[in-house]
Amino acid sequence: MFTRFFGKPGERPLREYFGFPKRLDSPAVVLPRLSGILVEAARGIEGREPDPELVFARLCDAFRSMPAEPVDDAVWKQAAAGRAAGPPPSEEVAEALKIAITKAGWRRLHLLVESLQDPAIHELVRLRTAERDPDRTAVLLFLAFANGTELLTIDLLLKSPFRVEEFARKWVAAIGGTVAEEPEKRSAQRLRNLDYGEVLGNLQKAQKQREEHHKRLAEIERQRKQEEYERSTRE
Amino acid sequence: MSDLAKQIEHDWPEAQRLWASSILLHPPALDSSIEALAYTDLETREVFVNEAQVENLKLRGSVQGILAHEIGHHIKYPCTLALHARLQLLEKQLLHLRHYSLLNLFTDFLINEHVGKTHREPLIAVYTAMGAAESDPPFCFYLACYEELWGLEPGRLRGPLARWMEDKFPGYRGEAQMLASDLFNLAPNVFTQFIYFASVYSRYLGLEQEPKPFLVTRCHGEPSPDDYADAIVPSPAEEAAVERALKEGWIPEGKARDLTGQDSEQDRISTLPGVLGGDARALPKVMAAHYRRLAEPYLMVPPPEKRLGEPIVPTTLEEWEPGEPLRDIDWPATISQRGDRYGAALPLRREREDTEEGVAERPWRARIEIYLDVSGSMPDPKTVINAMTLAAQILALSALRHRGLVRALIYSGNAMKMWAWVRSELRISRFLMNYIGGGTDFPFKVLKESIEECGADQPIRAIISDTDFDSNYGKHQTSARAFAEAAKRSRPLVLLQHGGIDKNVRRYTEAGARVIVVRRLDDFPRLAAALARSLFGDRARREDGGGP
Repeated sequence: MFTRFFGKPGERPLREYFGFPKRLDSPAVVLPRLSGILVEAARGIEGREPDPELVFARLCDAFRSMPAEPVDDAVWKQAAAGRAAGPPPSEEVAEALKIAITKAGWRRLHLLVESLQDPAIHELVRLRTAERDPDRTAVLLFLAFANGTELLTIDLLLKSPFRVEEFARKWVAAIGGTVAEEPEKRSAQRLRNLDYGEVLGNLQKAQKQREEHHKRLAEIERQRKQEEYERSTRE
Repeated sequence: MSDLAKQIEHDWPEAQRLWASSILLHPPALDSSIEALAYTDLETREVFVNEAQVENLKLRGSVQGILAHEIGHHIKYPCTLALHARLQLLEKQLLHLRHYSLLNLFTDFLINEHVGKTHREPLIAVYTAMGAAESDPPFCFYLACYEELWGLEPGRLRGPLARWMEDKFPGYRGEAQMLASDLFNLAPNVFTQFIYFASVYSRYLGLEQEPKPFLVTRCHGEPSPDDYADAIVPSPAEEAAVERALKEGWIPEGKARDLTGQDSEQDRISTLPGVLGGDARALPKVMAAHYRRLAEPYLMVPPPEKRLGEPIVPTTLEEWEPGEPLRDIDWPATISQRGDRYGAALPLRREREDTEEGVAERPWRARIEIYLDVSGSMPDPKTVINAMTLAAQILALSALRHRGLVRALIYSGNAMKMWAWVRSELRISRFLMNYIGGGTDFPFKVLKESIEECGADQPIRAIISDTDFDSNYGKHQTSARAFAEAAKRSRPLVLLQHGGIDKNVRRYTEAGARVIVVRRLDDFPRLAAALARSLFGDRARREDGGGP
């Protein structure tokens, strides 16, 4: 769960967990465009076995086009198996990288790699790779993010535009970007509202009250039926 | 023409285009006396806008959005009163609300999701201007759903009520977001969407006291009796929705049984307006329509009616009268009998007959007089399916489908009759919805008078009762005499008796009546149908040479 790794959204800017203290105002990401790319990618991978080799190859291609050095195969494989080398920028990222990436995680990675089609995302990732070596960037950003968003399955993304928006906003926040035509405060608030982990927590609270409500409702209904029965037998 | 009227005239076509390229609807009317901001009448297909509220709340900029919203009620949600009736009964079964209804909120939400794609800000302006009240928690939650749907900051539409909601309904925002996210994925089955919607909203409805509805826009229309009668039986889409709801855990198993199980029909009847409250005026019409539907499978299709035969066989000669068809004149016979001069002045016509004897005769028309026991031993047919009433409906409708005539009498301690012969299915089926209750006293006096009144042209008589009839029969000697007379002269007299005792049955049979003993109440419709077949079917007609 994202909250498990990165705390409640809004407590601390998401980019800081990934070791990016600075926010990059330019270029701003046009959210509907990014969401469109993600949905398209999700449709493409839905119900299919992910191909880790292909995902990795496309990531390397994207890095080459930046231009940046392609990711080292051994570093990537080791990190994907849950044995990332090097000091992580935060405990939370370290936790996320301890887990070997699952099929669902590979699917999300496919989405992240596809998101590089968006020029703003491409540029933001390029700027981040320029800050440190591409291997570290790839491992910390892509693998940790894919593992940290375990609740956002492809099925869920295809069902709910809210979850696509959440995925997109979190991704933008993780690489330290901004959303076009939106103040930072508003972006942070929207991210807080959208957090699926938070929503599920809310639902648990609601469920407790709901169960109590339904018990009482059932009792009222039973009484009503009893009254009806008594009335009909009187008649 | 006011400024608002001019604006409406301008915005109306644009608002319609949001739903379809061509819509035939009356242009909206301005009416400041309505309670809501705007109002849609599904019966007359009219839209009203509250001019005073629009001006007072400064919502001129939202007029196109408001119009588009109202058109949405006509075009999609609920579109027809038949669907409205189904959703209404489903809601009553799910939530047992007496006055409050979620239907308007539900259809508004579906509509605004569509309208909000292009008119989000105008709709936000409407809900912000209208506000919310603590007295209607479902409406407060409803606004939270819009805040989630449109990505607004919490409390934008509800103001200070946001905090109050969190205290009273912990976790409500999560529910609002899930609903705004998931509801539209459940399309196109509107019943699945509604059950989900109602299951989420149920938590926000008071248990002891219903919320006071907070009205923004309103969609109204009274479904017809046929709409309600249709809605009594769950449709396949509703069944699929209930199955899904059970699987998803939106409703418990017991509720699913109420909705589509064996007794679902009775459960639905109890939710009809007028059964457990509300306006009961339409109830007899609704139930009559339902009984007609129940009777339908038991009604036999009448055989094609024989036409009058073609008279081709020449018979006797008669005088031809001026005005009669010239082709009827038999000139060879006229000339041979009267000569050319006298014959030309006074021609003879030839009578012709059909080749098949009897075919040219007018088909027999059944007439049936029904005596239905509606004493306290049987339930009110308007609230529970009464097997004896259904049997009466089957007999009556069978006769009418065979172009017959029907009159009926219902009795318990008193009697109530519709004694004119009728051909209308509606009239007779609605009459049979009457109920008296109390003790039983068969009206032998009316039976006797009917025999006298009908003279040589006696109808079929059917008495539908239970063993109470035995005590009525034995009460006075005159009763037995009237019964015997009726048995002798009716064509025939049939007693459909629930739980008939052998020795009494023998007594009625010996008196000349046909007795059908109905062992189980459920057998009434089947046996009534069998009786109708024997009375009005082709065989009975041939056997008795024109009438049973």
